[in-house]
Amino acid sequence: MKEVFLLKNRYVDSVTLMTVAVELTEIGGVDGAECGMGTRPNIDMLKGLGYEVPADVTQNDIMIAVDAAEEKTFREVCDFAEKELSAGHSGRSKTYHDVDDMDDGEFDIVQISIPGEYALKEAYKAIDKGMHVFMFTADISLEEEHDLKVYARDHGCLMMGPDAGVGLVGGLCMAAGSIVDFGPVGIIGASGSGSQEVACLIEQMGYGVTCILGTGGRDLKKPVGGVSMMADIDRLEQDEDTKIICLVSMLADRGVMEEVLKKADTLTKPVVAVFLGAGPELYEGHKVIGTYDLTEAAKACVKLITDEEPDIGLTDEEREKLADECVAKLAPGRKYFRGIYTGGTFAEEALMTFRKEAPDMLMHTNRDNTEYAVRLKSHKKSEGNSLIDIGDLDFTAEAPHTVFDPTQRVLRYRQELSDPETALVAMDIILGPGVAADPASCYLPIAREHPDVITVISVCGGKWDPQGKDKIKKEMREAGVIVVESDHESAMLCSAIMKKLEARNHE
Amino acid sequence: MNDINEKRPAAVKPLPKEIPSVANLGIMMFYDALVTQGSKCVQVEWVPPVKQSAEITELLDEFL
Amino acid sequence: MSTDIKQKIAEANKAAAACLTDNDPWWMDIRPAGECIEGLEDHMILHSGPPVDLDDMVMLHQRGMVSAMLFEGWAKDEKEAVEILHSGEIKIESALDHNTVGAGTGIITKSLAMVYVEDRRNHTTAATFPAEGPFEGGFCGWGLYSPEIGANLRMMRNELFPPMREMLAKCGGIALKPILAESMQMGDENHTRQTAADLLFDKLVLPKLFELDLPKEVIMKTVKYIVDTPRFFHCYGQGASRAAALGADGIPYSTMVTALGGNGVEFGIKVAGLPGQWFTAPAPFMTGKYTSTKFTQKDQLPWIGDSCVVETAGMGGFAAAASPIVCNLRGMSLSDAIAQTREMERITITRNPNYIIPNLDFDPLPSGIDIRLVLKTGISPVIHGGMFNKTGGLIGAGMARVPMECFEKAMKAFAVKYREG
Repeated sequence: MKEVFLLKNRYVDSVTLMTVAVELTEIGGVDGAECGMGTRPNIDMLKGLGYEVPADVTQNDIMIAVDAAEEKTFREVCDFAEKELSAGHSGRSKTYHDVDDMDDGEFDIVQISIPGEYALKEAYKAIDKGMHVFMFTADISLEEEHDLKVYARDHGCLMMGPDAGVGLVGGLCMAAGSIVDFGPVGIIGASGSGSQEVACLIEQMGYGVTCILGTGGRDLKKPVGGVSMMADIDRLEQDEDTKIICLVSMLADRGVMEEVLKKADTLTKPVVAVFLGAGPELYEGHKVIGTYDLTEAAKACVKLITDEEPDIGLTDEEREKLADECVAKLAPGRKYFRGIYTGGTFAEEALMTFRKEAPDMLMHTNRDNTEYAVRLKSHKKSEGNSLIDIGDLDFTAEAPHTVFDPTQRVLRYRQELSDPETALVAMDIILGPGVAADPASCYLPIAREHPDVITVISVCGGKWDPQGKDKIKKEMREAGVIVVESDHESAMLCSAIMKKLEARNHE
Repeated sequence: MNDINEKRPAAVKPLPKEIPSVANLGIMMFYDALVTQGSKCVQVEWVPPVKQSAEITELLDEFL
Repeated sequence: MSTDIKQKIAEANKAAAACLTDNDPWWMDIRPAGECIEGLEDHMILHSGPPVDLDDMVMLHQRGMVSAMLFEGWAKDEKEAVEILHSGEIKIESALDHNTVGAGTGIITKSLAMVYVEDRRNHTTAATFPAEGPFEGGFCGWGLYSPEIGANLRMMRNELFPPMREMLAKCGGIALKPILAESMQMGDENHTRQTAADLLFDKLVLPKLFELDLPKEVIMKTVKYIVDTPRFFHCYGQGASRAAALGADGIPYSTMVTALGGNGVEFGIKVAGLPGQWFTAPAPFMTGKYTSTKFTQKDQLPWIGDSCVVETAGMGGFAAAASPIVCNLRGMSLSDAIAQTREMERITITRNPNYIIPNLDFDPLPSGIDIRLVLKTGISPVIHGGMFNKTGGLIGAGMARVPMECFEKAMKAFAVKYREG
């Protein structure tokens, strides 16, 4: 069948018309095709080929002549021609200046780290267009955060953050997280490094996660009311790949935590929870499997999968032996512990562990609102035993966060080691595609210069993280650093060392 | 006014099961990380918008 | 509920922008202004830019008013002209409140022969003033009048235009869009440069003139007029743009700009969804190149003229990428010219698939200024034009930005009219 279609009143140059005509002939089912302006010679040419040209054709119209057997081919050809003749041919990719430039649902996730007032607007726009949001930005009020999260929930979108540093969705790491193997545990975390650690430990024990849904650090504060955590709990209850849910957070508002635990009670799937700093009274009366540190939470998840008590970290004997060896190397006069942590949750977990394992140890810290230590006069100088949260605002106001650029902590490490009373330094290394490419080797020359001080480093990372977890551990051990698997283990080992040191120093 | 319909939440959008596509507004390092992980992603060329009067900002919120 | 109005605006803007992209302008005739400009009455004078009181007008317009009186014979000399003008007998209106355009001073009265354009898609018409040949700016453009200028206008009407009219009657009209489209692939932006458009026009029109059964000397006068007048096609681009924009005038809820123009005192915009209203601000100065080093901004008259009707339709300043030569005269590089068009993309509703530009990697030109996007981005439309001396005369060429205040006023008026509840 031969038919001629008109694109009325359109101008296209002759070279483009010829190019498009050739492309049309390559469409399946097309026996012949021509493309040209409605000029006399072109009309005559088409008539000569046996086409009937519409009477209302003018020289300003484009004629598309198609010879094909099937009706639907004509439609295909017309749609294709219309598209080719309308679009730019550059293949230049679209430029976006903000979410307004995006089509509905054009992306799965909009990741936001621009200043607060603008971040809020863009997040709402993204939700209106049916896209999930991950927000690293933190300068948004708690009330605004609450309203934003309610809006996201009511539109069925994920709202990860504000103040979220870690996420893992569909196998993709958001911001500072780690790539972790796929498995049956779904993690919902108000603590970034905490969720990351739990996920990485689960991977280390041979399993994996469906996702890490970061809620941002303030989700469980009263004005926010746990909206994201509860929405995510519902979501993971629906998610067919998630068999076990794990909630990770620091201790937060009592009422909000209660609500969260009550919601968890309504689920069919088992829930493990770690609210760092909580005592057993928090979990009492609820279905959740309550745990008290990150390693324990990871182990509890794995136990639900395998039904066995998994093995990770040092045994008590191994720890004691190692602690003895360390103390033996320390000269008299070496007295103090210095911890320098990038993960706020790691710092908190360590402080808690020290308090539990070495209750007589007087600890100082720059962290606010902790029951386990005394506030340092200045964050710039350690006193006695000190545990520094170098991710705290005091430090990040002056320099990039250590997780992105280790420089600040390298200087602090050097500073601690130059103090003749420092016996033991503990640090946490965090891996992941979005953080410093080389987070560890910068400490090693310094460690090598100071065999008289013990350095313990815990590594939080997945086996697929680009920095190469095993390679890093090996290099650190070769430099004389003691490498452990988790922040909890680091704190256990360090408190064991400090107890023995204390005992020796008093002999 | 149908109250029931107002309160019913929209269908929960499913969790992406494959590497999701991402539009990144802000820190370039995060965009680089998305690229290396193989996400179909774009770096949004965001600049702080022009400071408008409060009145104009409100009108734009209402009509744009 | 608030998404409802945004939806209405989006749909309205789509329809409005389609008036620009889907237009079908044809040069059909040359007729006296009184016969083809709707609402142009006897004893009425049109001028460029937004409405302005006689006493507030810049010297060029005041002079133009007097010129109009003399041209039409409504006064016998300047003194009488001024008296009658101040008596209130003469109606004075903006050209852009009618289906016409006032380039430069834009002095238009009923007896002036105008190029008459029909837009067959939009079912609108527009009249624009043809080039005055050796008097270039002359009456309409510069508001001048003298016996020589008068004689020239009469000569044009009586001798130069009849062969054109006969040709048009015979061939049924000349389609303008193909010329505009092809010329912008050849280095024109169709505001300050239409060299290619002129040549394309000549190629189309001259043979038709030669085919007329008229004495050779008669035809040659018209031919020489066409070929010797620089920027001859200028008024056709304006006519096509104006007719297209008129198609959108009055579309409810649309935030698209339908007119731009200045009168040396104020600059004004009109918006599709707010018909009959002007939104004005002090007229801006241009930046660019002066014809002589003795001229500086203090010699410059703030923007006067409606020729930015072409920017309304997405050419001129919006087509900078098509015309790096024009931009180069103002010290811009090729990438600057491209960047200017790309910048305009951010304040427009759509892209015009008829205007594919090689320098844009074959992307289409942006079309349809949206007042909301202007306010949101802080980017104001770029308008190309010629710089006028306060005392008359062209002293350079360059570009200006439409004052942001115009858009703010328009947005507020839009809210008053369309806010629900």
